[in-house]
Amino acid sequence: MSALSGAQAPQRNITGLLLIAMGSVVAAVLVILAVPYYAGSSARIAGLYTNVAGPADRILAADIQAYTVNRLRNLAAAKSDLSNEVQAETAFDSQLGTITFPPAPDPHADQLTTADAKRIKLIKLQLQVKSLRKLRALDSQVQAASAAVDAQVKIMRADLGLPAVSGGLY
Amino acid sequence: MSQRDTIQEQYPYPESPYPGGPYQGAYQEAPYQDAPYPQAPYADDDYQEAFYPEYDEEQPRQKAKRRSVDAWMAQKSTTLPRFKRRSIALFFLRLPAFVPWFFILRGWLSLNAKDVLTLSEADVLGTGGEAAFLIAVSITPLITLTGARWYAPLRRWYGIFFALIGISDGTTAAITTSFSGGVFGRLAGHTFLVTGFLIVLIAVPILLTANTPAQRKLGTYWKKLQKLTYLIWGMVVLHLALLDGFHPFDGPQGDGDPVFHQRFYQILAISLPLVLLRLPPVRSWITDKRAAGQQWKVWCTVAPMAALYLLAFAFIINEEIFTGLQIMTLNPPAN
Repeated sequence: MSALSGAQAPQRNITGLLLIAMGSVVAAVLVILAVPYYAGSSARIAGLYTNVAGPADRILAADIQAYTVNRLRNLAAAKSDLSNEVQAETAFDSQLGTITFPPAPDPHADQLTTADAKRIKLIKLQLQVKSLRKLRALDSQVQAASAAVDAQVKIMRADLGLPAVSGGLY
Repeated sequence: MSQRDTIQEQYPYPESPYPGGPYQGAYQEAPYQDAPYPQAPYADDDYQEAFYPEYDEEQPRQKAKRRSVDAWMAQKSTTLPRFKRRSIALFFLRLPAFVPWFFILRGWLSLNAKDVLTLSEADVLGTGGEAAFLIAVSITPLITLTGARWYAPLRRWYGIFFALIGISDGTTAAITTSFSGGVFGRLAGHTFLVTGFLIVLIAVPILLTANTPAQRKLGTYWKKLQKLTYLIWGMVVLHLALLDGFHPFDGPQGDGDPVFHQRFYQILAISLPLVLLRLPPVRSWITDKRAAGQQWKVWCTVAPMAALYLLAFAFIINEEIFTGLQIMTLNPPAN
């Protein structure tokens, strides 16, 4: 300050104030915008879950419907349906693993993946059988595994604030 | 970079380095013998009044208040009388520089078990190096804001660790990452890799001259060399822009806060106050307000920028800890 003349000094200070004020206004706007953005994170996580579950449900619904018909008369077609189910469920589990859930639903996501893995294992057993009768014999075990998956999905969706699933697996 | 950042300080000074300037009185008031840290080995460890001319313009009351912080830190600790309070505080404030290596150590010792280094080393060492760099360049604005200088040695400390972490990052990446093209491809196979590699190369001469003998030998050239820090800063911003771009971090997945995890946005948010507080008119305004006993106006004005800075830094630390723990537990992400 002392190095400047009387006319220069106030000018310099006004420039300094303006610069710092501009920076602070920009920062204040960004911080204010960050608050509602952060508040919406749980909704975005729920959105991430439905983005993964929706396509998987559509594929699985078609495959399960086709399997229901083919399990009675066409072993090759039934196995193809089951194979597609395995692919869809594996993809769902993989995509679910990339979502970082908050502490509450995080362990339930792991439990859902574990339940799904059991179901996939049973379906893979069905893929190895050589007759429709043996194929159908394993259906009850698969249905029991599906019930376990349903229970985990119900908990998971409740954690995420989503309505209970209707017409789909996830 | 200001004179305060780089000037070579040598005790004892026979007279003020600003003869005829406005600092004569201050120099006489606070002679070398009374300076808080006469034994400091590095320039950054000393902050005699003569090297901070703007602060000498303060009112005596303000100066006394500011001095009281530095003087208090220069006293011996009551609980550990062998050490000065400043030394104890600096010891603990220096420890976080080791965190990236602490996290990566298991990956190194296990020789990249489960591909943890392939998948996450850049997240841990890159983010750690970035954090060290940002801490180093935050010290000068913090001195401008507070007037206290006892933590000035952290600037050099974190600057050195930025370079060392960067070198270890580059070395690990050259060996373990999955980019095609051999070592050259892993270091410079993409534009963001080229910028990262250049950052490390530019950091090497700064690292080698980050000591008092080099400072003395290079004289005025040392200051020019240290100005490469600003080139590194620009390169870091470019590196992160090329790495993440304007797209949310990690694609559509994440934890629901992709914008907060966007590294390019983080460094812009942190750089905004750091650049502004380096501008001479801004520094002058802050010094004037402090001299007039209106420090509260400074704090009120910078508060939003400080909030933005802390918010962005919190997510850098979050990234470091999150990916660091993945390496420590040998549980890398499936990317």
